[in-house]
Amino acid sequence: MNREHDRDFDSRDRVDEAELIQRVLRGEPAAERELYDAHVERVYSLCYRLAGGDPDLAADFTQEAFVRAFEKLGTFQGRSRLSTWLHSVAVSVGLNGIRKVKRNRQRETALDSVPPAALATRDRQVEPDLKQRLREAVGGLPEKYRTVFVMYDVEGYTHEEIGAALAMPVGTSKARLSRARAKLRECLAEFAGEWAV
Amino acid sequence: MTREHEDGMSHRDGERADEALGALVRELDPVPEVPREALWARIQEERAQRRAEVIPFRRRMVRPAWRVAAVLAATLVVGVGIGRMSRAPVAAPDAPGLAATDPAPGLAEAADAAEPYRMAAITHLVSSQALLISFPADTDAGRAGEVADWAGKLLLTTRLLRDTPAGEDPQIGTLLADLEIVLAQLAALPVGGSEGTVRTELEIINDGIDRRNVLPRIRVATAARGVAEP
Repeated sequence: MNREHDRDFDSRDRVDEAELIQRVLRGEPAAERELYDAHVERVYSLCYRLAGGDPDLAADFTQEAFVRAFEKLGTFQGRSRLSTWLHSVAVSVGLNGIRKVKRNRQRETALDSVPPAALATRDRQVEPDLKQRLREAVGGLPEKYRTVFVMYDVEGYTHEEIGAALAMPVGTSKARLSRARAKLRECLAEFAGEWAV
Repeated sequence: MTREHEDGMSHRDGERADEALGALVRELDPVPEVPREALWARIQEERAQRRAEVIPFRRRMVRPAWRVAAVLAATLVVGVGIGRMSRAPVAAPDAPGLAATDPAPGLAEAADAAEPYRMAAITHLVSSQALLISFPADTDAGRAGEVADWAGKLLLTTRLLRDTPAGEDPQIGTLLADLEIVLAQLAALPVGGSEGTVRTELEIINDGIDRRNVLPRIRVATAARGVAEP
Protein backbone atom coordinates (compact mmCIF):
# COMPACT_ATOMS: atom_id res chain seq x y z
CA MET A 1 0.00 0.00 0.00
CA ASN A 2 1.53 3.31 -1.04
CA ARG A 3 1.11 6.21 1.37
CA GLU A 4 3.75 8.44 -0.26
CA HIS A 5 1.53 10.37 -2.62
CA ASP A 6 2.42 13.88 -1.49
CA ARG A 7 6.17 13.37 -1.48
CA ASP A 8 6.05 11.80 -4.93
CA PHE A 9 4.36 14.86 -6.34
CA ASP A 10 7.14 17.18 -7.47
CA SER A 11 7.09 20.54 -9.22
CA ARG A 12 7.26 18.88 -12.66
CA ASP A 13 4.08 16.94 -11.88
CA ARG A 14 2.44 20.15 -10.71
CA VAL A 15 3.25 21.88 -13.98
CA ASP A 16 2.04 18.90 -15.99
CA GLU A 17 -1.15 18.84 -13.96
CA ALA A 18 -1.74 22.57 -14.46
CA GLU A 19 -1.21 22.17 -18.20
CA LEU A 20 -3.59 19.24 -18.33
CA ILE A 21 -6.25 21.25 -16.49
CA GLN A 22 -5.83 24.16 -18.89
CA ARG A 23 -6.24 21.81 -21.84
CA VAL A 24 -9.40 20.35 -20.34
CA LEU A 25 -10.75 23.84 -19.72
CA ARG A 26 -10.06 24.70 -23.34
CA GLY A 27 -12.29 21.77 -24.23
CA GLU A 28 -9.73 19.32 -25.59
CA PRO A 29 -11.39 15.87 -25.59
CA ALA A 30 -8.02 14.10 -25.47
CA ALA A 31 -7.12 16.00 -22.30
CA GLU A 32 -10.42 15.04 -20.68
CA ARG A 33 -9.70 11.41 -21.41
CA GLU A 34 -6.16 11.79 -20.10
CA LEU A 35 -7.43 13.22 -16.84
CA TYR A 36 -9.97 10.43 -16.56
CA ASP A 37 -7.40 7.71 -17.25
CA ALA A 38 -5.00 9.15 -14.70
CA HIS A 39 -7.52 9.11 -11.86
CA VAL A 40 -10.28 6.63 -12.57
CA GLU A 41 -8.62 3.67 -10.83
CA ARG A 42 -8.34 5.37 -7.45
CA VAL A 43 -11.67 7.16 -7.73
CA TYR A 44 -13.46 3.93 -8.61
CA SER A 45 -11.67 2.08 -5.84
CA LEU A 46 -12.66 4.73 -3.31
CA CYS A 47 -16.25 4.72 -4.56
CA TYR A 48 -16.35 0.92 -4.36
CA ARG A 49 -15.38 1.06 -0.70
CA LEU A 50 -17.80 3.88 0.07
CA ALA A 51 -20.51 1.88 -1.69
CA GLY A 52 -19.87 -1.04 0.66
CA GLY A 53 -18.55 -3.28 -2.11
CA ASP A 54 -21.41 -2.78 -4.55
CA PRO A 55 -19.88 -2.51 -8.05
CA ASP A 56 -23.00 -0.99 -9.61
CA LEU A 57 -23.17 1.75 -7.00
CA ALA A 58 -19.43 2.27 -7.34
CA ALA A 59 -19.88 2.83 -11.07
CA ASP A 60 -22.73 5.28 -10.42
CA PHE A 61 -20.66 7.23 -7.91
CA THR A 62 -17.60 7.26 -10.15
CA GLN A 63 -19.66 8.50 -13.07
CA GLU A 64 -21.20 11.29 -11.02
CA ALA A 65 -17.85 12.25 -9.51
CA PHE A 66 -16.25 12.71 -12.91
CA VAL A 67 -19.25 14.51 -14.37
CA ARG A 68 -19.13 16.96 -11.47
CA ALA A 69 -15.37 17.27 -11.65
CA PHE A 70 -15.51 18.23 -15.31
CA GLU A 71 -18.32 20.68 -14.59
CA LYS A 72 -16.48 22.30 -11.70
CA LEU A 73 -12.91 22.08 -12.91
CA GLY A 74 -12.95 25.82 -13.59
CA THR A 75 -13.38 26.40 -9.86
CA PHE A 76 -10.29 24.35 -8.98
CA GLN A 77 -7.70 26.87 -7.82
CA GLY A 78 -4.66 24.65 -7.58
CA ARG A 79 -4.25 25.09 -3.83
CA SER A 80 -4.18 21.31 -3.48
CA ARG A 81 -3.37 18.53 -5.86
CA LEU A 82 -6.00 17.77 -8.45
CA SER A 83 -6.30 14.22 -7.10
CA THR A 84 -7.10 15.57 -3.61
CA TRP A 85 -9.78 17.82 -5.02
CA LEU A 86 -11.14 15.05 -7.22
CA HIS A 87 -11.27 12.61 -4.33
CA SER A 88 -13.10 15.16 -2.20
CA VAL A 89 -15.72 15.38 -4.94
CA ALA A 90 -15.89 11.58 -5.04
CA VAL A 91 -16.26 11.35 -1.27
CA SER A 92 -19.04 13.92 -1.30
CA VAL A 93 -20.84 12.13 -4.11
CA GLY A 94 -20.29 8.71 -2.52
CA LEU A 95 -21.47 9.67 0.94
CA ASN A 96 -24.55 11.45 -0.35
CA GLY A 97 -25.27 8.57 -2.67
CA ILE A 98 -25.02 5.96 0.03
CA ARG A 99 -27.23 8.03 2.34
CA LYS A 100 -29.84 8.17 -0.36
CA VAL A 101 -29.60 4.44 -0.98
CA LYS A 102 -29.98 3.74 2.71
CA ARG A 103 -32.99 5.99 2.96
CA ASN A 104 -34.56 4.30 -0.01
CA ARG A 105 -33.94 0.83 1.30
CA GLN A 106 -35.14 1.78 4.77
CA ARG A 107 -32.86 -0.69 6.37
CA GLU A 108 -30.05 1.27 7.84
CA THR A 109 -28.39 -0.72 10.59
CA ALA A 110 -26.02 1.12 12.84
CA LEU A 111 -23.53 -1.19 14.43
CA ASP A 112 -23.68 1.00 17.53
CA SER A 113 -27.20 -0.28 18.16
CA VAL A 114 -26.13 -3.93 18.08
CA PRO A 115 -24.63 -5.07 21.38
CA PRO A 116 -21.21 -6.61 20.79
CA ALA A 117 -22.22 -9.46 23.03
CA ALA A 118 -24.97 -10.40 20.61
CA LEU A 119 -22.45 -10.61 17.81
CA ALA A 120 -20.04 -12.59 19.93
CA THR A 121 -22.55 -15.33 20.65
CA ARG A 122 -22.70 -16.40 17.02
CA ASP A 123 -20.93 -19.60 16.12
CA ARG A 124 -17.45 -19.15 14.84
CA GLN A 125 -17.31 -20.15 11.21
CA VAL A 126 -14.82 -20.26 8.40
CA GLU A 127 -13.58 -17.47 6.15
CA PRO A 128 -16.72 -16.86 4.05
CA ASP A 129 -18.51 -15.90 7.24
CA LEU A 130 -15.61 -13.69 8.23
CA LYS A 131 -15.89 -11.91 4.91
CA GLN A 132 -19.57 -11.29 5.48
CA ARG A 133 -19.00 -10.23 9.07
CA LEU A 134 -16.21 -7.94 8.06
CA ARG A 135 -18.37 -6.31 5.43
CA GLU A 136 -21.18 -5.91 7.95
CA ALA A 137 -18.82 -4.56 10.57
CA VAL A 138 -17.29 -2.00 8.22
CA GLY A 139 -20.68 -1.14 6.74
CA GLY A 140 -22.13 -0.76 10.22
CA LEU A 141 -19.56 1.75 11.35
CA PRO A 142 -20.90 5.28 11.71
CA GLU A 143 -20.23 7.11 8.47
CA LYS A 144 -17.55 9.43 9.83
CA TYR A 145 -15.52 6.48 11.13
CA ARG A 146 -16.12 4.25 8.13
CA THR A 147 -14.99 6.88 5.65
CA VAL A 148 -11.68 7.44 7.41
CA PHE A 149 -11.12 3.70 7.87
CA VAL A 150 -11.66 2.82 4.22
CA MET A 151 -9.60 5.77 3.05
CA TYR A 152 -6.65 5.20 5.37
CA ASP A 153 -6.46 1.50 6.15
CA VAL A 154 -7.97 0.08 3.00
CA GLU A 155 -7.18 2.57 0.24
CA GLY A 156 -3.92 3.94 1.59
CA TYR A 157 -4.66 7.66 1.75
CA THR A 158 -2.61 9.75 4.14
CA HIS A 159 -4.24 11.61 7.01
CA GLU A 160 -3.34 14.84 5.22
CA GLU A 161 -5.21 13.71 2.11
CA ILE A 162 -8.18 12.59 4.16
CA GLY A 163 -8.23 15.86 6.05
CA ALA A 164 -8.20 17.78 2.78
CA ALA A 165 -10.88 15.61 1.19
CA LEU A 166 -13.20 15.73 4.18
CA ALA A 167 -12.36 19.30 5.22
CA MET A 168 -11.23 18.39 8.73
CA PRO A 169 -8.01 18.60 10.72
CA VAL A 170 -5.47 15.80 10.50
CA GLY A 171 -5.93 15.13 14.20
CA THR A 172 -9.63 14.48 13.70
CA SER A 173 -8.83 12.01 10.95
CA LYS A 174 -6.44 10.17 13.28
CA ALA A 175 -8.94 10.15 16.11
CA ARG A 176 -11.70 8.81 13.89
CA LEU A 177 -9.43 6.10 12.54
CA SER A 178 -8.54 5.05 16.03
CA ARG A 179 -12.21 4.88 16.99
CA ALA A 180 -13.08 2.94 13.82
CA ARG A 181 -10.33 0.40 14.48
CA ALA A 182 -11.42 -0.05 18.08
CA LYS A 183 -14.99 -0.70 17.02
CA LEU A 184 -13.91 -3.17 14.36
CA ARG A 185 -11.61 -4.99 16.76
CA GLU A 186 -14.48 -5.25 19.17
CA CYS A 187 -16.89 -6.58 16.58
CA LEU A 188 -14.42 -9.03 15.05
CA ALA A 189 -12.81 -10.21 18.28
CA GLU A 190 -14.00 -13.75 17.82
CA PHE A 191 -12.24 -13.92 14.46
CA ALA A 192 -8.99 -12.40 15.72
CA GLY A 193 -7.05 -15.60 15.06
CA GLU A 194 -7.85 -15.40 11.38
CA TRP A 195 -6.61 -11.89 10.79
CA ALA A 196 -4.54 -10.62 13.71
CA VAL A 197 -0.83 -11.45 13.81
CA MET B 1 6.43 1.25 28.20
CA THR B 2 4.06 -1.09 26.47
CA ARG B 3 0.61 0.33 25.99
CA GLU B 4 -2.14 -2.20 26.15
CA HIS B 5 -5.15 -2.34 23.90
CA GLU B 6 -8.49 -2.76 25.56
CA ASP B 7 -8.53 -6.41 24.53
CA GLY B 8 -5.16 -7.05 26.16
CA MET B 9 -3.00 -6.93 23.03
CA SER B 10 0.27 -5.00 23.20
CA HIS B 11 0.41 -1.73 21.28
CA ARG B 12 2.69 -3.25 18.63
CA ASP B 13 0.38 -6.24 18.21
CA GLY B 14 -2.52 -3.83 18.00
CA GLU B 15 -0.88 -1.84 15.24
CA ARG B 16 -0.15 -4.97 13.27
CA ALA B 17 -3.70 -6.14 13.77
CA ASP B 18 -5.01 -2.78 12.61
CA GLU B 19 -2.91 -2.94 9.47
CA ALA B 20 -4.05 -6.50 8.96
CA LEU B 21 -7.66 -5.36 9.10
CA GLY B 22 -7.23 -3.10 6.10
CA ALA B 23 -5.32 -5.81 4.26
CA LEU B 24 -8.04 -8.28 5.09
CA VAL B 25 -10.70 -6.03 3.59
CA ARG B 26 -8.64 -5.72 0.41
CA GLU B 27 -8.02 -9.45 0.31
CA LEU B 28 -11.53 -10.66 1.03
CA ASP B 29 -13.27 -7.97 -0.96
CA PRO B 30 -10.96 -6.95 -3.79
CA VAL B 31 -11.99 -4.06 -6.01
CA PRO B 32 -13.25 -5.46 -9.30
CA GLU B 33 -11.61 -4.41 -12.53
CA VAL B 34 -12.66 -0.88 -13.43
CA PRO B 35 -15.12 -0.89 -16.33
CA ARG B 36 -13.04 1.88 -17.83
CA GLU B 37 -14.55 2.16 -21.30
CA ALA B 38 -18.14 1.63 -20.22
CA LEU B 39 -17.76 4.24 -17.51
CA TRP B 40 -16.20 6.74 -19.88
CA ALA B 41 -19.10 6.27 -22.28
CA ARG B 42 -21.60 6.82 -19.44
CA ILE B 43 -19.79 9.95 -18.30
CA GLN B 44 -19.79 11.41 -21.78
CA GLU B 45 -23.46 10.61 -22.24
CA GLU B 46 -24.42 12.15 -18.91
CA ARG B 47 -22.43 15.31 -19.60
CA ALA B 48 -24.05 15.71 -23.01
CA GLN B 49 -27.48 15.29 -21.44
CA ARG B 50 -26.80 17.87 -18.74
CA ARG B 51 -25.44 20.37 -21.23
CA ALA B 52 -28.67 20.01 -23.17
CA GLU B 53 -30.66 20.69 -19.99
CA VAL B 54 -28.58 23.71 -19.00
CA ILE B 55 -28.94 25.57 -22.30
CA PRO B 56 -32.58 26.60 -21.78
CA PHE B 57 -31.66 27.92 -18.32
CA ARG B 58 -28.80 29.96 -19.72
CA ARG B 59 -31.10 31.41 -22.35
CA ARG B 60 -33.27 32.67 -19.52
CA MET B 61 -30.19 34.29 -18.04
CA VAL B 62 -29.57 36.45 -21.08
CA ARG B 63 -30.68 40.00 -20.38
CA PRO B 64 -31.22 42.85 -22.81
CA ALA B 65 -28.31 45.26 -22.86
CA TRP B 66 -30.36 48.10 -21.37
CA ARG B 67 -31.20 45.98 -18.33
CA VAL B 68 -27.55 45.14 -17.81
CA ALA B 69 -26.69 48.82 -17.98
CA ALA B 70 -29.51 49.68 -15.60
CA VAL B 71 -28.33 47.16 -13.01
CA LEU B 72 -24.78 48.50 -13.10
CA ALA B 73 -25.94 52.11 -13.07
CA ALA B 74 -28.17 51.53 -10.06
CA THR B 75 -25.35 49.80 -8.20
CA LEU B 76 -22.94 52.59 -9.01
CA VAL B 77 -25.38 55.30 -7.92
CA VAL B 78 -25.77 53.64 -4.54
CA GLY B 79 -22.02 53.11 -4.32
CA VAL B 80 -21.19 56.70 -5.21
CA GLY B 81 -23.69 57.94 -2.65
CA ILE B 82 -22.21 55.79 0.09
CA GLY B 83 -18.71 56.70 -1.03
CA ARG B 84 -19.39 60.38 -0.69
CA MET B 85 -21.03 60.00 2.65
CA SER B 86 -18.30 57.80 4.06
CA ARG B 87 -15.30 59.66 2.63
CA ALA B 88 -12.90 60.85 5.30
CA PRO B 89 -12.78 64.63 5.86
CA VAL B 90 -10.10 66.27 3.70
CA ALA B 91 -7.38 68.00 5.62
CA ALA B 92 -6.99 71.73 5.19
CA PRO B 93 -4.39 72.68 2.56
CA ASP B 94 -2.23 74.36 5.13
CA ALA B 95 -2.20 71.40 7.46
CA PRO B 96 1.36 70.80 8.65
CA GLY B 97 3.24 68.14 6.65
CA LEU B 98 0.50 67.56 4.09
CA ALA B 99 2.48 68.74 1.06
CA ALA B 100 5.49 66.65 2.01
CA THR B 101 3.49 63.44 2.26
CA ASP B 102 1.58 63.80 -1.02
CA PRO B 103 4.19 63.64 -3.77
CA ALA B 104 1.89 62.23 -6.45
CA PRO B 105 -1.46 63.99 -6.54
CA GLY B 106 -2.30 62.25 -9.84
CA LEU B 107 -2.21 58.88 -8.13
CA ALA B 108 -4.36 60.15 -5.32
CA GLU B 109 -6.92 61.40 -7.82
CA ALA B 110 -6.95 58.03 -9.60
CA ALA B 111 -7.46 56.26 -6.29
CA ASP B 112 -10.20 58.70 -5.45
CA ALA B 113 -11.88 58.08 -8.79
CA ALA B 114 -11.93 54.35 -8.04
CA GLU B 115 -13.59 54.83 -4.66
CA PRO B 116 -17.18 54.97 -5.98
CA TYR B 117 -16.61 51.65 -7.74
CA ARG B 118 -15.21 50.14 -4.57
CA MET B 119 -18.21 51.34 -2.62
CA ALA B 120 -20.52 49.97 -5.30
CA ALA B 121 -18.72 46.66 -4.92
CA ILE B 122 -19.10 46.77 -1.14
CA THR B 123 -22.83 47.45 -1.51
CA HIS B 124 -23.01 44.52 -3.88
CA LEU B 125 -21.09 42.29 -1.47
CA VAL B 126 -23.61 43.10 1.25
CA SER B 127 -26.47 42.09 -1.07
CA SER B 128 -24.64 38.90 -1.98
CA GLN B 129 -23.98 38.15 1.66
CA ALA B 130 -27.74 38.07 2.24
CA LEU B 131 -28.09 35.39 -0.42
CA LEU B 132 -25.17 33.33 0.87
CA ILE B 133 -26.65 33.36 4.36
CA SER B 134 -30.22 32.59 3.38
CA PHE B 135 -29.88 30.12 0.52
CA PRO B 136 -29.61 26.95 2.67
CA ALA B 137 -32.95 27.71 4.33
CA ASP B 138 -34.50 28.81 1.04
CA THR B 139 -33.50 25.65 -0.77
CA ASP B 140 -34.68 23.51 2.16
CA ALA B 141 -38.02 25.26 1.81
CA GLY B 142 -38.21 24.27 -1.86
CA ARG B 143 -37.25 27.66 -3.25
CA ALA B 144 -34.18 26.51 -5.18
CA GLY B 145 -35.54 28.17 -8.33
CA GLU B 146 -35.74 31.56 -6.64
CA VAL B 147 -32.25 31.12 -5.24
CA ALA B 148 -30.91 30.34 -8.71
CA ASP B 149 -32.62 33.38 -10.22
CA TRP B 150 -31.36 35.65 -7.46
CA ALA B 151 -27.84 34.27 -7.83
CA GLY B 152 -28.05 34.82 -11.58
CA LYS B 153 -28.84 38.50 -11.10
CA LEU B 154 -26.06 38.97 -8.57
CA LEU B 155 -23.69 37.08 -10.84
CA LEU B 156 -24.34 39.54 -13.63
CA THR B 157 -23.47 42.50 -11.41
CA THR B 158 -20.44 40.68 -10.02
CA ARG B 159 -19.03 40.21 -13.50
CA LEU B 160 -19.67 43.82 -14.41
CA LEU B 161 -17.99 45.04 -11.23
CA ARG B 162 -14.94 42.87 -11.87
CA ASP B 163 -14.36 44.89 -15.03
CA THR B 164 -14.37 48.18 -13.11
CA PRO B 165 -11.51 49.63 -11.00
CA ALA B 166 -13.03 47.78 -8.03
CA GLY B 167 -11.94 44.53 -9.66
CA GLU B 168 -8.32 45.69 -9.46
CA ASP B 169 -8.49 46.28 -5.73
CA PRO B 170 -6.41 43.52 -4.06
CA GLN B 171 -9.01 42.78 -1.42
CA ILE B 172 -12.25 43.41 -3.26
CA GLY B 173 -11.05 42.05 -6.60
CA THR B 174 -10.19 38.60 -5.26
CA LEU B 175 -13.37 38.56 -3.23
CA LEU B 176 -15.43 39.34 -6.32
CA ALA B 177 -13.61 36.58 -8.20
CA ASP B 178 -14.43 34.01 -5.53
CA LEU B 179 -17.98 35.31 -5.24
CA GLU B 180 -18.41 34.91 -8.98
CA ILE B 181 -17.58 31.20 -8.72
CA VAL B 182 -20.03 30.64 -5.88
CA LEU B 183 -22.81 32.60 -7.59
CA ALA B 184 -22.22 30.76 -10.85
CA GLN B 185 -22.69 27.48 -8.99
CA LEU B 186 -25.86 28.71 -7.30
CA ALA B 187 -27.24 30.10 -10.56
CA ALA B 188 -26.70 26.70 -12.19
CA LEU B 189 -28.48 24.77 -9.44
CA PRO B 190 -30.24 21.79 -10.99
CA VAL B 191 -33.65 23.20 -10.12
CA GLY B 192 -35.56 20.37 -11.73
CA GLY B 193 -33.18 17.75 -10.38
CA SER B 194 -33.84 15.19 -7.70
CA GLU B 195 -33.61 16.13 -4.04
CA GLY B 196 -30.37 14.19 -3.73
CA THR B 197 -28.82 15.94 -6.73
CA VAL B 198 -29.69 19.37 -5.37
CA ARG B 199 -28.44 18.45 -1.90
CA THR B 200 -25.13 17.17 -3.25
CA GLU B 201 -24.74 20.33 -5.28
CA LEU B 202 -25.48 22.49 -2.27
CA GLU B 203 -22.93 20.64 -0.17
CA ILE B 204 -20.27 21.26 -2.79
CA ILE B 205 -21.25 24.94 -2.93
CA ASN B 206 -21.15 25.21 0.85
CA ASP B 207 -17.75 23.53 0.88
CA GLY B 208 -16.56 26.11 -1.64
CA ILE B 209 -17.88 29.01 0.42
CA ASP B 210 -16.17 27.68 3.53
CA ARG B 211 -12.92 26.83 1.77
CA ARG B 212 -12.67 30.31 0.29
CA ASN B 213 -13.78 32.00 3.51
CA VAL B 214 -16.18 34.06 1.44
CA LEU B 215 -18.50 35.15 4.24
CA PRO B 216 -15.80 36.14 6.75
CA ARG B 217 -13.98 38.08 4.02
CA ILE B 218 -17.16 39.92 3.06
CA ARG B 219 -17.68 40.83 6.70
CA VAL B 220 -14.12 42.10 6.98
CA ALA B 221 -14.38 44.12 3.76
CA THR B 222 -17.71 45.68 4.67
CA ALA B 223 -16.73 46.36 8.28
CA ALA B 224 -13.56 48.10 7.11
CA ARG B 225 -15.72 50.56 5.21
CA GLY B 226 -18.28 50.98 7.90
CA VAL B 227 -21.14 49.34 6.00
CA ALA B 228 -23.72 47.62 8.14
CA GLU B 229 -24.57 43.98 7.53
CA PRO B 230 -28.01 43.16 6.16
